[in-house]
Amino acid sequence: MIVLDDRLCALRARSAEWAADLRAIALDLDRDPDLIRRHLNLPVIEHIGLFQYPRRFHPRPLVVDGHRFHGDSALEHVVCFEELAAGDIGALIAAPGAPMAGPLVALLGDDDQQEAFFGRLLAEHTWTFLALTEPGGGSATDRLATTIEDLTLSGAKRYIGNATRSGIGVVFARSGPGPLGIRAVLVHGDDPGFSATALPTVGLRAALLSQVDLRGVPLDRSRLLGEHMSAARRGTWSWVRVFNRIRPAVAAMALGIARAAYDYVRTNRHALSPAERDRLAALGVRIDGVRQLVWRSAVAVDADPADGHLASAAKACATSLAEDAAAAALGFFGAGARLDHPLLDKLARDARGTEFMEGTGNVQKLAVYHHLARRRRDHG
Amino acid sequence: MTEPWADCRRLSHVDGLVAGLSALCGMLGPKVLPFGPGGHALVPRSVAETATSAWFGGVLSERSAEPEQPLTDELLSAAGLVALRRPVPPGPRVVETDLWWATGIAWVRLGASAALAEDCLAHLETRSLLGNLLVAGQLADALTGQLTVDALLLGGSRPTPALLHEAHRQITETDRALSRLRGAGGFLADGPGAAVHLSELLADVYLGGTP
Ligand SMILES: Cc1cc2nc3c(=O)[nH]c(=O)nc-3n(C[C@H](O)[C@H](O)[C@H](O)COP(=O)(O)OP(=O)(O)OC[C@H]3O[C@@H](n4cnc5c(N)ncnc54)[C@H](O)[C@@H]3O)c2cc1C
Repeated sequence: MIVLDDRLCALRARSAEWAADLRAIALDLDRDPDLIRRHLNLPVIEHIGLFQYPRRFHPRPLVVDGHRFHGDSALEHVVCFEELAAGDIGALIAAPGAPMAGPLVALLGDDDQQEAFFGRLLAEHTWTFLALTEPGGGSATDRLATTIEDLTLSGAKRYIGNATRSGIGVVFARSGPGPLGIRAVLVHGDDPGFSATALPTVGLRAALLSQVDLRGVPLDRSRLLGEHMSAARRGTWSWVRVFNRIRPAVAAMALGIARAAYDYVRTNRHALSPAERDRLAALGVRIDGVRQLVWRSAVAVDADPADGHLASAAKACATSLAEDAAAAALGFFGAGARLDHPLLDKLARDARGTEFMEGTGNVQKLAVYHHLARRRRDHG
Repeated sequence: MTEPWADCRRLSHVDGLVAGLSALCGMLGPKVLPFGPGGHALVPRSVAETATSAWFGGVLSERSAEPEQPLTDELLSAAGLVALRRPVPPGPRVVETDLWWATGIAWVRLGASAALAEDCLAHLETRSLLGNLLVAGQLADALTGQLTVDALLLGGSRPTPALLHEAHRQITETDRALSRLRGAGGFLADGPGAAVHLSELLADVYLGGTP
């Protein structure tokens, strides 16, 4: 069993305090995602933004009880993100910063690109996006239809978080055949030919999922990430590492939704019958179990960024837990619970969205299976 | 299945959840607004606008006698639905009548679930994923879920609260599995995701979660 040390306990406690600020704006943001602009001065929003920056772009690391945090370990992320998502996952995703694009630029960007990207984020509140999924082909990279030809980007992306308000983002596109032909490029929100339109969603409304259209966006070489790397390293090799690192944090967000649902019942339902007490206790045990898996997946990724199978297992498990916990929590409040308890209703709607973030359940299952198959091949 | 149930299911399948629900409301009689056990109603806008009596498990009362609180939500209004809440009147409900209504809601939901399955198949076809074994297994589970509900509701025995909870739970689970297979399109409020959400809301209002 993993037990947090004093340092991570301090981070967890601080994150739980911040979560209250996110909870306070949760339902408002769900109605109007733009309201996030009114809350940019909350300490939590500022720190979410900085959490994924490389150390040299970190002007002031977070200091809690004398402990310093640069946010550069996956374990720190999961500890912090569970708490923040238990406050509100919508506000967490709606915060400016570069939770997904940042690690990619940190890994694939040359010095100038990193300077330009993180420098811009430091200078002013800037939202970013990462665009992989396409309308016709999901996130299957063998079907990527967005192209870079003669340094011009053309195609469309769909379900891209924050794209309508982003200043800059990373787009995956194909510059040639096969896995080595896939490239990541930097795109600015005001580039000619770039447009983003918000899509109405059932949950996670604050995330502003968008359709992105790229109609002949002109690029120059400074936009191509990984130019200084070998073709093999700037493709799948590097992305797998980045996504392995992000996935435990997404699992932690789903875990946070489950926790929020569980806590809601504990706070708002008194005088439980013995059967209800048992049901709630069983949910609590399941949450604790998934948390251990999420922490272990983060430790594994910190030890070896190429090893993401635990992260896949944790993500799939935490997503199911989030959906089940929200449904179970509603069951404690009788008929009409979804109308009488808007926060629980929101948790149930948000939980459904976590299925698609950072790969669906099936994609995670396949990753876990491939790990098993590889191990049998190597050791069997 | 009696013809009116069949109609509700078919309408919901072909024309959407709201059409099926309108037909079901029609079965209560004209100008009647059905409230669930918690004092909530979720009905097509036209029903909310014209109803003169409130129905609580078969017991009718004057609609204007108690204050009603409208509960707004953009997903509801976009679908042409209205949610309301008012105090539950004292006195017993006619349990059989409540169960009859929850049975009707199950048929409406099942019709919408069938439509979702078709939408899902069409999506998976464009994604060339229909032959994928993982996907095939999940589709088979979903279809089995729908058949189970069908069998439960047509089983011949009088519907009990336990039977209806099971039927509604199964529909919810099936819809969730299908909407996951539908991809993120199943999460869009102007697509099949909205129908799944509204279907869950109907079960919540007229039956509630696990007792
Ligand atoms: C809240 C949210 C945030 C998102 N944020 C972003 C973002 O910031 N950037 C971005 O690029 N995308 C983002 N997405 C998109 C997300 O990555 C995709 O929705 C997801 O990858 C699935 O793609 P799809 O929706 O096209 O579904 P499809 O790919 O069409 O999948 C349909 C079904 O088929 C299954 N399936 C697909 N391939 C296989 C396979 N090989 N084997 C077995 N089953 C398979 C899936 O599991 C799913 O159940 C987001 C989506 C949501 C809902």
